[in-house]
Amino acid sequence: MTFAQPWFLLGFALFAPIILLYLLKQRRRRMEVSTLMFWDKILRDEQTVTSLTRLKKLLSLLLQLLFVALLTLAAARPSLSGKLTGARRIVLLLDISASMLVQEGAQTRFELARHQAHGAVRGMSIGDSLMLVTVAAEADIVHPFTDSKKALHDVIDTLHPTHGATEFKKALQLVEQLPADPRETHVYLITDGAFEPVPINPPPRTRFAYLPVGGKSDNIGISGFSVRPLPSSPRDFQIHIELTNDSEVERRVPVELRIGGRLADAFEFNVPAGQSLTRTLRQFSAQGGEIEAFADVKDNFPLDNHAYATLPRPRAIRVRLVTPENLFLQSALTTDEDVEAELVKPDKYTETSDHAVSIFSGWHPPKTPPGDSIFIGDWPDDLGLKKRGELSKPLFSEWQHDHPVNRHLALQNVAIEKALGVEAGPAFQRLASSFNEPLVLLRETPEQKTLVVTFDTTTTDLPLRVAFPILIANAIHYLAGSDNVERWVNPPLGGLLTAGELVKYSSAGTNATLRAVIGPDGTRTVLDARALVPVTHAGFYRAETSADETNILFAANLSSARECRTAPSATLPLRSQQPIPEIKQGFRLGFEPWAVLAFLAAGLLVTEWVLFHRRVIE
Amino acid sequence: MSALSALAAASAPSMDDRDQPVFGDDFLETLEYLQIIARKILSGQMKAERRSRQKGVSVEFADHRPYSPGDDFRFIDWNVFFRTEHLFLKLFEEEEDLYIYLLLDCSGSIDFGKPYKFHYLRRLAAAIGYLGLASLDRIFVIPFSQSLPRSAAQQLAARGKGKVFRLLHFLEGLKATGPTNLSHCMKTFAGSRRKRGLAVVLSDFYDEAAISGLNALRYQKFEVFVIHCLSPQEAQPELLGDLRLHDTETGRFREVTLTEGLLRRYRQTFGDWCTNLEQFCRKREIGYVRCRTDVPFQDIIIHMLRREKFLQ
Repeated sequence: MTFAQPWFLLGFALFAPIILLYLLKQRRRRMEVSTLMFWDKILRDEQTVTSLTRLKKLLSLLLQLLFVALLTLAAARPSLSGKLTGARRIVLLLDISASMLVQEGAQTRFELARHQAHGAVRGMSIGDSLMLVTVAAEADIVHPFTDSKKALHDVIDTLHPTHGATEFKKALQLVEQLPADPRETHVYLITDGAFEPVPINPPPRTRFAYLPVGGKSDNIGISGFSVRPLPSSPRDFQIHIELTNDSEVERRVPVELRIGGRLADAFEFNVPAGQSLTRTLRQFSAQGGEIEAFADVKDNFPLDNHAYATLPRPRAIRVRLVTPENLFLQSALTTDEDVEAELVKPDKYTETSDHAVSIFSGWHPPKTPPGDSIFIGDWPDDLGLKKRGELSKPLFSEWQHDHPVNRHLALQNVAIEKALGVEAGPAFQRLASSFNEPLVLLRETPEQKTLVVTFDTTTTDLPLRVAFPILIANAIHYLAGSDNVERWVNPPLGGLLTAGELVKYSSAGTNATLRAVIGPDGTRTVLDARALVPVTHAGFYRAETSADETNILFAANLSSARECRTAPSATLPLRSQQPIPEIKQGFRLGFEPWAVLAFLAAGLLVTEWVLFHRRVIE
Repeated sequence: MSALSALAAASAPSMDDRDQPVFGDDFLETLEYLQIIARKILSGQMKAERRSRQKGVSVEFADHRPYSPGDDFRFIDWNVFFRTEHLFLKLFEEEEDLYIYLLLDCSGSIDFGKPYKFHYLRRLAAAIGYLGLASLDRIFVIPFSQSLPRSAAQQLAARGKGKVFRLLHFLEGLKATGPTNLSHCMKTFAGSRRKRGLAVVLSDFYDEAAISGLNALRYQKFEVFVIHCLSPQEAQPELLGDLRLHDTETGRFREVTLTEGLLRRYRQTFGDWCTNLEQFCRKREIGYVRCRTDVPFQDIIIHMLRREKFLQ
């Protein structure tokens, strides 16, 4: 037996004054009576019970000593060894995923789960310790193993459900990785079990219990939603939507689409019972902004009736084209609405400028200018790309299809009159080649990016092909650092974003302009170098800039068919090749020894009072 | 307000009157009222003097008894002798003054209580004495504790209403002290008095042999009337816990731990003892009045006159 507060054992010193007080002769109150005749008669009979009186006095002393002893022990907070009490190691897996927001009467499933969790904590017995793990997209240990019920109750009260999907697999991996312990491990799953049974290899001396929350629920929701700009036109986009019907009847679901808060379109879908329906909606045009879909149905889970997406606003990229004359290139630049092109004659050329990208065609400066550049047909010698002869009628025989510069390009059969042969060093990356002779090269350093095309486009039929403006646009966007492809892909719920990752969602494009992130629930996360922004709620996340502006940053969505299926599981949502041992119910002492001791002390106090101090008022 | 209630209100004893005078300014007035009430109650029954139960010489025939040698020939009823040929003596009621002996307990046990028991007893004695004096009876006030007073100066003998101040003065001068030996005192008194009469014993009767004392009076042909005086603290003591009891009569101490159970037994014993005394008196036609000192003494006097046929 150990004591949490051993200094309270000094309370045993109170024995001495108590015994001393009993040994001291009590000073009696003097009372006048007219005669002792009657008292003598009564007390003569009482002589027979004198020994009993002495015994009662001794009993009073013993009771008081026992009372002090119990109180002292209770104050010292003893704890018994686990072997003695059959103590357990309890892992409480509490589901805080989006489906726990389903309304069950007056309460949500999460509130019911919270009651269950409190009940499990109250049920802890002597020597038990409990670890509290919340399960959503990630499994988080919100409190390590402890025997402090108060600490656990406090933590449970602070928990809130997230809008993320359930990922019990990670939580069960956590259970499997627990270090060995002499006590038996009991794992409680407090969840609606609205997910596919999770495979598990039950660790030894581990038992499981499923504490289900929630009843049957007919739910319809948007289980998938995303937007994608068209490659050919970043201002045009498609919408991908998936609706899931977790009920037993086919449902007709009206869906409203709002862009920038204004109703843009409305649709109706027939979603078969128990199935999902996927649709890609026609093209929309917008200058970017907030896109929200709303399924106008009444059910117990309103969260999945809304879906959110953002379309990044295009950034204007300032480009200067330094050429004596290149109409095809000029035309290609004007087709890209994100590009602000400026034509500069070679005699007006200055080395420094505020343009993001400089394109040289038919002329090149003697020195490579600072900043990002595209050289077409020729380049300065200081670029480090040595020329060696000419290639006659080269062909695009291979190109890196997955490189952003080559995205959506079809370069086969482009007729090229001639190209410059080059000896490309390791600093150059070959984006396209003609039978191992490089045609398009890219040099990237921390300071600048340079793209080199080894042939003059005017001597080819490339400008007449669709691939030409795409190549130019890809090259400019890549060099300018614009990456629309990633900006419209929203981060998943449950993840954490660093300040660096947030920059790519920012329309400002620079880290310096972001000051804080405001979530859909109003939480504000100040951004510093080590800040991590948790994506926990579905909705729009906005950025607060140093210019006191609030811009849309990204959207987060539930977007999970699994969370839309809210019907709870009737059995333990685990599966294994081996039988999964379940927790046996039995009697357990649900309170600590100090409480027992304090209770006994109170009982003794009452007993002593009844025996020695009770007065009957007649 | 009736005369009686006004009387009660005017002379109700206070709860702590040990240091107050025994007889206040209005005490005589109270006695006068009592006498008026007594006259109403006894109207038609009193003849200024009461007949004695003693047989003696007077004109009122009482009874016959057989002759025995030595009897006075003058009282032989010759008419009866001629009819029966047996000698019988005529007996006549003896007309004499009524002798009222107020035997007042002045032991230490009387020196107790709130209201003060000794004051209470003396007021009762004064009231009875006043009624007797007003009826031209002979009043004797005999205080006793362990023994009777040895000298005549320590007793009072009075006759006539004019002696009322002497009576009150005598009662005021008494002290309550010493142990009780009621039995011995009664026996001594009964043996020493030639004149029989009404013996009113005012006491708390805290003497195991009290009954034998009363019997001694009876055997000596005294008409006995018992006034049993108790204080509320004796009847219903409110004592609890570890106590050192001090007997005000003997000065003896006794340590006791009083519990509710013990108190219950005390009340039972005390009640039984009072009941036994009362039953003894009732069985032997001894007038008995039990009075608590928290009851106005006038009520007791009226009760005695009405219910107990006192002075009839």
